[in-house]
Formats: sequence, structure tokens, C-alpha cells
Amino acid sequence: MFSRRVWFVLGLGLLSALVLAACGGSKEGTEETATASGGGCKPSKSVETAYDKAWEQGEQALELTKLEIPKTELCEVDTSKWQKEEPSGGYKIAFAAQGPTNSWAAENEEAFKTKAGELGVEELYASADGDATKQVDNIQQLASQEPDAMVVVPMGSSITGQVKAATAQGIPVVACAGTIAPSSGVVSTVTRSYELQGRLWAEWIAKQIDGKGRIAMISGIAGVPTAEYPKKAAEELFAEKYPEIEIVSKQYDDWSPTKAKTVAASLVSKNLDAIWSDSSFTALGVYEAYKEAGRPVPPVTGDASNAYLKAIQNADVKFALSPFPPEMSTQCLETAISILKGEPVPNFVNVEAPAFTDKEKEKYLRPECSENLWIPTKLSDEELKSLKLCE
Amino acid sequence: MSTAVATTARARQRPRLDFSRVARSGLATWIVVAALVLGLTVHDASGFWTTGNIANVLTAMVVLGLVSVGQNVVVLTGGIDLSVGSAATLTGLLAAIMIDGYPERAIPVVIAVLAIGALIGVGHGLLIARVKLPPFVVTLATFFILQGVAFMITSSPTGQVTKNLSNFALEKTGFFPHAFIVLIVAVALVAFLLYRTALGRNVYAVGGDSEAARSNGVPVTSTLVWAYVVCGLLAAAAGIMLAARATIGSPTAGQGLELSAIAAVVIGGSSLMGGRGTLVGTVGGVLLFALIETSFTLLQIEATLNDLIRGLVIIAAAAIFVSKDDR
Repeated sequence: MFSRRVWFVLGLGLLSALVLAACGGSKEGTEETATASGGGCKPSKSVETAYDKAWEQGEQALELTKLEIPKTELCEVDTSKWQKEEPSGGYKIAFAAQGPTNSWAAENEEAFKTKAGELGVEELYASADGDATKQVDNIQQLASQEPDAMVVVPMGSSITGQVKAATAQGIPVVACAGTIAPSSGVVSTVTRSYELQGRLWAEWIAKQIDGKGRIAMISGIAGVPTAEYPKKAAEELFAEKYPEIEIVSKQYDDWSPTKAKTVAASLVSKNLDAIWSDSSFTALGVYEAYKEAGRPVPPVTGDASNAYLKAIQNADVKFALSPFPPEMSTQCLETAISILKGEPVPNFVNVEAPAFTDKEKEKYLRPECSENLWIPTKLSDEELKSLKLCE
Repeated sequence: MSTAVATTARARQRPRLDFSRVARSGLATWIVVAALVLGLTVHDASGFWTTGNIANVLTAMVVLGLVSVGQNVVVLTGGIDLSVGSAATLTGLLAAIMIDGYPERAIPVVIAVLAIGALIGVGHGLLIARVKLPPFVVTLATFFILQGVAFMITSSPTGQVTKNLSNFALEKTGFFPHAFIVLIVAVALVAFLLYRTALGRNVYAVGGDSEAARSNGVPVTSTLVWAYVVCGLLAAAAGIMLAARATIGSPTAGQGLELSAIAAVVIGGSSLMGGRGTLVGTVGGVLLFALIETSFTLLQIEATLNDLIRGLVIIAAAAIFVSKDDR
């Protein structure tokens, strides 16, 4: 009796609230195109050229005939409002990082730290442990220490509001190795374009199977932008250009080689012509699952790790890898410094990194280095040794 | 000889510092909190006692505090709610999607989302009290179901809360974050419910011994349902705060909250067997977590030590303060 009453009251409350919510009204502005520059972002040919360069390299390396570049708003941000004379102890730059939860992040953070040391920057670090909820607090904590600028490796969309609060406080924010909604007011985004990654892999897959066949898509972590956006870009491309490609299965593997192998093992019987994936963790799992099953490995995509190249170095596997270089954090830091010096910066820096296929595997393989190395790397031999990545 | 024995016996009966009693009162956690505050003050007084840092600590308490207070009520009944993180994720996502930037929708949507949280609680309560399924199994299932529903709705950010709502979640006056008011109100209401109403007494009675409570006329079913309703309601409130702080809806916003909430409740001296624990202790546990989290950034402690230190604090608090018969 009691529970029926509770159900009734709650149900009625919910219904009334939803009816009230559905009543009209006007929507607040989304500020989708706004940046912290307050409108000081002017079109720039050099920014567009730099953006396109990464696409062109990918197109050539993967021997694609025409890689369509989706329309993106590109401009050069006037940063004079954040110009600040360098203090005697150097600029204080906050780094809201992922935290050393995997080898990619460890390399990303070490590269930032090393570069900060070289440039005489005081680094203010916070680790999110890969958790977006924690990063929300991190950003607030870093902002309260009044840094000159902040670099954020976004863990998820839930940090948008806190980034907005930081930019409103007058701190220029650079989004690094990921994107944050433009409404957050980030000054510049430094990453390898998600659309580039997603489309590049998709076009290469389509080419391998002549635009028709059965494929699977395996992405990293559900809901995480780094996994979702390339996947979305690839799905759109398949739907628009290749209606004869049937996506048999869409899975997540949490960027874990073990889980990737389990997921791939479940796909072996599906007679796939190719597998689109966003990571070499996945590519490795696919290789191992098919090898164990005694079946030929279908063409596969991913980013570039030494672990994958070491595993397949003597195998006949078709693949296309497009790196997501961890040391892009150094470019993020340089962009933050440019902002503080009042130099114009692109609103989007499309990080260049050479995409390659199985034809060039010997060129990129680093046999003397560990599986944890992400390739190709710009870190010096000393840095790689100090990180215990190479002998 | 006999005098000596009597003296020894009296000495044994002298009141001593009883850690179990201190733990049960919930004050033990506050001793750890005080020690940590003292340590931070000695180490970096100018950094720790800034208005900005105090605001950081208080802000870090809000979302975790809401889910922990709800979890505390459920734990007092001898249950557990593993779904609070997923419930917060789903309700926060729904709030952002349904509000979608329309100020007129904010209040009715907040009410609707709170009702959804309460409905989740009703479902939990009925499955546990009526169908007699173990709380762990029920809430583990809904942990996956609610997260699954969130991913079915969207796997990428969507929706938009209103400026007023996000301003409320993000703004502060001096050291006081406005969002902290929500936690104060929630704690006050739950304290009233636990310590000033028959329902509160019933919660403790059911958690202590549900069969004995039943034979003494305590309405066990409705008590359990209400406990899970409170928990679901507060998880939804946490979800709304997450969405307000993010300004948009995220399908992953509340992930991981459940473990932190359970840890805060346990550190606060509550028995996972039910029937014992205080709100004061749980709030202390939440404050302890907030202090630890903010200290990492404030003191620039090596990130690789994060989990280690957090784990050591939990085990130390449990080893010292949690009563042996609670383990």
C-alpha cells in the first residue's frame, strides 16, 4: 500500500514537472563559436594551410586519392589581452594532466615537464587519474593558485564549466590532446584532429576492401571524446560515401590489449573484411586473436605504438597507423607561452605526425626500445633513457 | 594479596580511551581531519588557508557529500547502493538534455530529475524489501543498467544547463562556494530524518536486526524503500550539480562516485553490517577525501603516489578506528 502511494506521488510529480518543462520559452545562447578572445579571432590563410598539412601527409602516406577535409572554423586569435611580462622566475603554467595512468600519459607528462624545464617555466601540475570528475576539481584547484596560463588534457566534457570559470578568471586555457566545447572559452586547441584520425582510417579501410564488405569498429572507452569523435567521423564517412560497407559490430575495448583480444576473438567468426580501430592496443588484440584462431588477420587501423610493431614485425599483416603523439604536450606549452607573449596563435593546431602503413614498418620500428614507446617520438635519446623507454 | 588483586581489577575498570566508541560517534574521522589540517598548516600555511584553497576543499565536498550522505542512510539499514555514480550520471545527463538552455525549464526539470532519482530508489527498495534480492546484486545490476541507459541516450556530450544553474554551481563568495548550500541543506534534512523522526529510528532498528525490528512492529519494507528513495534522491541532486558544473550533459560524469561514497561512509565509522554509524562521521569522511584530493595539487605531490596515499589513509583509518566487530 505504502509503495503504491509512493509510486503514485512520484509518478505524478514527474509527469507534472515534465509537462511544465515542455512549455515554451526561449533558449539561451550556446556560444558555440565563441572563444576567450572575445571576438578577436581573424581568418588566416597560414592557419588553414597548417591545418591542411596534416591531412595531406596522411592522404599521401596512406596512398588515398581524395581525402575530403571537413569544414572547420579556423582563425588566428589575437592574444594581446593576455600579454604579460615574463616574471624573473619564469611564467607559472598550470598543467591539468591525465595522470600517469598509462604509457601514453606518462610520456605526455614527462615531455611537458622536460620542456617546461628547458623554457624556465614553473609547472603547476595536477593529475586527474584519467577521471573527468576529478579533473573538474583539479582545474578549480589549479586556477585558485593563479597561474599565468593553463594547459588542460581534457578527460571528458564535464570539465567544460570549470574551464569556463578559469577563462572567466582571466586565465588563458589551451586544450591539449583533446577538445573542449568552444563555449568554455579555450584560447587554442592543440591536438591531432579527431576527424582526421577517424576519416583517415575509414578511407584506408574502404580502399582495402574496394568500398564494400563487412567490417567491425572497435573504439576505446565509451563516452570519452578521444574515442567517440574519431568513431563518429568514421561512421559519418562510411554512411555518406560507402553505403555498401556493412558495419557488422561496434565495440569498445577500453584501450586494453587484453580486452581488445577478447573483443576481437568474438569477431573472428563473423567473416570480417577489415577492422576499423582507434588504437594500436586494439590492433594488437586483433592480431593476437586472429593468430590464435589460425585465421588471416584482416586489415586493421590504429595509432602507432612500438608494442604493435614489435608484435607484427615478422607477420604478414596489413595496417594503417596514424600517431597521436604524446609529446604534443610540448606544443601545447609553447602555445601557452606564445599567448602570454601576446603573439597571435591558431585557434586550432592540427598536430602533425607521420601516418604510415605496413609498407614502412621497418622504418618506424624501434627494436631497442620498450613496448611502452609511442612512435615516432621527438624525445631525445637521453629523455627516452631517463623514461626507461629505450636502452 | 587480595587488596592487590582488587586494585588491579579497579585499574582495569578505569575509563580508557575507547577507539570503538570514538569511531561509532563519528568523531574519529574528525581527529584525522584535524591532524591533516594541522599538518597542512605547518607545511604550507600561506597556501592552505587561502580563501581559494578553502573554497576548493568545500567545492570538492559537494557532489561526493551528496552521494555519501545518501549512501550512509542505505548502509545504516544494512544495505549498499552501488548505483549512485550511474544514477548521478544518468540524472545529470537527463537534466542537461531536458533543460537544453531554456531557463523556463530549469525548475520543473530539476523536480523531474529528483523524482527520477527517487523512483530509482523506490525500485531498489522494492526489489530488496519485497522480492528479497540482495542489495549488492540489485544495485550492481542497476549500476550497469543506468550507465547503459546513459550511453544509449548519447555517447558524446549533449544538452545545456542554464547560465543561472551553472553560475550557482561555479560561483563563490570569498571562501564559500554557493553550491555548498546544497550539501548543507541535504545534510540538515537527512539529519532531521535520522535523528528526529520515527523513520530514522526505524532505519537504525532495521540495520541492527531486521527480524527483531519486524517482530517489534517496525515497518521494515517501507523503511528500506524510504532509505533507498533518500539515496536515489541525493544521487540525482549530485547529478544535477555535476551537470550544472559541467554546463553540459556528459554520459560519464558520475563514474567512480560509488566507491568514493562507500569509502567515505566506512571511514566515517559506519558499519557495513548496518545499524551503526553517524552522519557526522560520514561528513568527516567526505571532508577527509576532499582534503586529500586538494592537497595533492596544493603541495604538488607526485601523481604516482595518489592512489597509494589514498589507499593507505583508508586502511589506516579502518585499522585504527573501525570497531573490530564491524569488520
